[in-house]
Amino acid sequence: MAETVPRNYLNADYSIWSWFLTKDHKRIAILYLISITLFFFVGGAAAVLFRLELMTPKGDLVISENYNKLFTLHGIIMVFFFLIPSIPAVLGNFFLPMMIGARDLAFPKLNLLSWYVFMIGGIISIVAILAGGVDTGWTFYTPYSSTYANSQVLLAAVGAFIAGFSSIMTGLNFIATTHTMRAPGMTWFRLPLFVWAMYATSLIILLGTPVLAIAIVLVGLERFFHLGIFDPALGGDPLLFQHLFWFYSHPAVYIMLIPAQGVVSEIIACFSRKRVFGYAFIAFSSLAIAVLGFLVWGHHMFVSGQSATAGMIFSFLSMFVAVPSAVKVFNWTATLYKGSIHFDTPMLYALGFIGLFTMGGLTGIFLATLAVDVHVHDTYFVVAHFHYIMVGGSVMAYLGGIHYWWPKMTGKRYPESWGRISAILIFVGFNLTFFPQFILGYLGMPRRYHFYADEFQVLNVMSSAGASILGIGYVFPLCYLLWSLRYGRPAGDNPWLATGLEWTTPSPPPTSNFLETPIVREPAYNYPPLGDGEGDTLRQEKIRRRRQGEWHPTQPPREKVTTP
Amino acid sequence: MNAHVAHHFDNAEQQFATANLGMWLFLVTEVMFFSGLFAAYTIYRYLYPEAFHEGSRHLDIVLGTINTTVLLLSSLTVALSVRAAQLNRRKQLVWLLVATIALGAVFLVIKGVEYGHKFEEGLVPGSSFELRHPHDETFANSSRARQVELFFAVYFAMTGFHALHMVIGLGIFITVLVLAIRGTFHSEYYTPVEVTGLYWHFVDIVWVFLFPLLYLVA
Amino acid sequence: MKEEHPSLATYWIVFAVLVALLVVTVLVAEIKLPEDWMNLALAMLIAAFKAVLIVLFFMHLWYRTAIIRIVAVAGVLWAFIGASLTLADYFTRGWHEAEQPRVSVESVDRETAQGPRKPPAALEPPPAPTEGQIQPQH
Repeated sequence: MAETVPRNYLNADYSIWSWFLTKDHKRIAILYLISITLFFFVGGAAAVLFRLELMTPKGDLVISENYNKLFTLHGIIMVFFFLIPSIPAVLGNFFLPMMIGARDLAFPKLNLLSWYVFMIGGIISIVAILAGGVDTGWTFYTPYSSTYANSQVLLAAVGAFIAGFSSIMTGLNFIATTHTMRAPGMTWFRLPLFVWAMYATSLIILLGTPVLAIAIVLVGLERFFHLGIFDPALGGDPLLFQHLFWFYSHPAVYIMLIPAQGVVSEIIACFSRKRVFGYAFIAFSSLAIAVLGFLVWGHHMFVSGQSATAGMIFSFLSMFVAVPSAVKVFNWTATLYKGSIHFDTPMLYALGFIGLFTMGGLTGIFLATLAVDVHVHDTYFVVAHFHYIMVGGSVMAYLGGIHYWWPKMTGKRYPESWGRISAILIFVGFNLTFFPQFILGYLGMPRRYHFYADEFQVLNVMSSAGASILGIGYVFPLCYLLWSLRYGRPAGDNPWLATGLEWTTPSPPPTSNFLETPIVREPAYNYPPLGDGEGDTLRQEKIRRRRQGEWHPTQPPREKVTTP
Repeated sequence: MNAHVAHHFDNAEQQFATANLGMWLFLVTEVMFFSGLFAAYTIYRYLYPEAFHEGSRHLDIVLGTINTTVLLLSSLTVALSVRAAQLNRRKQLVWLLVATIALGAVFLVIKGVEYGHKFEEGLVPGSSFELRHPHDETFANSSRARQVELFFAVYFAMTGFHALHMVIGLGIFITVLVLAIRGTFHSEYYTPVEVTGLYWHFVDIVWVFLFPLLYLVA
Repeated sequence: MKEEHPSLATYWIVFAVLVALLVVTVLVAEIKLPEDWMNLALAMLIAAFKAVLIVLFFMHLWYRTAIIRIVAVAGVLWAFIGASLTLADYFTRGWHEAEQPRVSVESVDRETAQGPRKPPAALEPPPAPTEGQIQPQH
């Protein structure tokens, strides 16, 4: 029988303008979700092309200039238009207000503006691609970008510049919201760790992005108005661009990482049925990463012409930035210990994150070591390192978060078996793609080249094979998540029996989030104690659902079976 | 007044505190934006001190001092306008806003005059840059002349972005002025005046640093 | 809304001090101090003091809560961090130049008995620019 669906943020108004002029943070999150998914597949398409090129040692699929354009496209789109916004603009926008018990973010109109600004930046970047592309690499190094490149540097730079404003608006909104709009009783140390992560990320966004803006703008001014600030002919230093660029772009990797860590904290707690071990340490480690991350950018410039002394200073400082992340990994492990582990899809992604992020982070220490970096800089070792963190880490955490909160956002459950298959496929494909690249880099294959020595072919073919598995793995969630919108089981308020204010609302939530402002009296992650076996409420719930025949993805719940 | 409190806020105090915090956070981003330019300035002054002396001599200290005074005065009028709003004095608020906008416009006109002089003297970086020496014909091609061109690149970048921020500020003030004329502001609600004022003071502070760095090198 | 704010007198006094400091700045610039950096340091000190006055009284930071003050300080601090570490590069250039390799190329290259391989002519580096003279490109 058809039940009347209660009013929620999705069905409150069906008109197109109610979406494009919305001030509801949840709708804006969905707008972002759609946009970044599109950008992800554009960036992924570029990856398909250049992984195809790299199957053979010769540069035979595309000419060098076009290969340069492909990896530049991949970098710009994936960094600025997928990874940086992903978790903050989708999951942060949707859940930050709900987690703190607020009705919306501090500046709802600014939030909507941030999406429009993001789209304008994205469209300009796509125009740059269609108008011929950029071949400078996503790093826009001078003097090539400022003086010698013949490609659409100005357009691409403008696109990235504008996208930066979108990021700043989001970060500003999050900080203001967290400070002034917490519900009564929601003290800082009762906040979910995801909120701490969003806060730390927003600090980085606010302090770092403007420096990227000035770096890009100066390149634009040099190209367009011949204000040769980086021009060696005038005595200018191209390295100054690198300092300004990396001052943002190193903390930027933490913009891409810390939210992922926040998601992982939430998922690990829920699917171990335990509160997170060392809550305060994880909270402060997010802040520590945010601060320390600003002190290390020169490790991208060890062989660029930077002074050797500065290289040593940056190498030394870079060692410290790994510590807070390590603290988190230890604390998550301690959370898992003696927990009641459930291997649902979000947990598979979170566990994958912990392993792959650890590998990526440790190889970062290799690269921070000046003497080692001199050999592996600009090789595939670096490429493997950052993909382990960004893809094996951030993208997996993003997917884990999407699956975890999908029931809340849409009111539907995705098919769990497909979720697990995809997670495993992505994990296998990812490792097959990127582990060989560590070896390739160690053996000396340089990055950003589309031809290479014959002896590297086997590893490259393995990598490309892995990439095709990874690509399929990414398409599966797209399909079944969309499928679930129509055919998925209704989710109920709290399908995972998780703690957190967002789970106290209906799924999908009403437009104002809470009918009454919640009053918080409990600590975060207030899961019942597990000792007696009865404490794992999720396991009991799953048993109950299986008994009632609710476990099949497409079957609606049947009538309760009375035992004779 | 409840009419001005947005639905997601609990009360006017929360809304004001949030708006204030939001503007200060935005100003932090502006500080970081200009810090890149200040870093460039510091590096190049460290590397080419004589060229910076030489370049600075071509700037008009009198006009620069007048501009600094104009901007300081406009900060005063902004601060007094916020006070007028707090004390419910609509006419005073309106006139102080008008004064601020006028002073800002004066600054920009003087800046425009200075830029015009630079165009005439051939001191705009680019292919038309030419630093002539009265006694040395080859000076224009020397490395010193190139470094002076670099000084002017920094000069135009810094003052150009400053002027751009002033133009934006004036635009916002005109909007605030229109709202003030309509009587939107009173002692319970004057948030836009306050936060725009904060922005304007920041622009003033940037100039307070730019003036000695660019004009008073020699 | 009862927001604390400065009195009229405070505003005018601060303005007078700001203008006075401007005059001082211009006058001091005329005086040549023993070291070049002293002029710059003094000018920056005065400018910083003026900025602090504007921030505290015109921008009302004197009357604001701790969080706003932290925000203001953090912004300035971060600008300093960025500038300082960048300058750490420029100030230390020339301190530790790469030494000549002690291992000669000949001893390493065992395959070719003729000695070290020379790069093909097309990959010869362009002649090094003469020190101190920047050749203009245009």
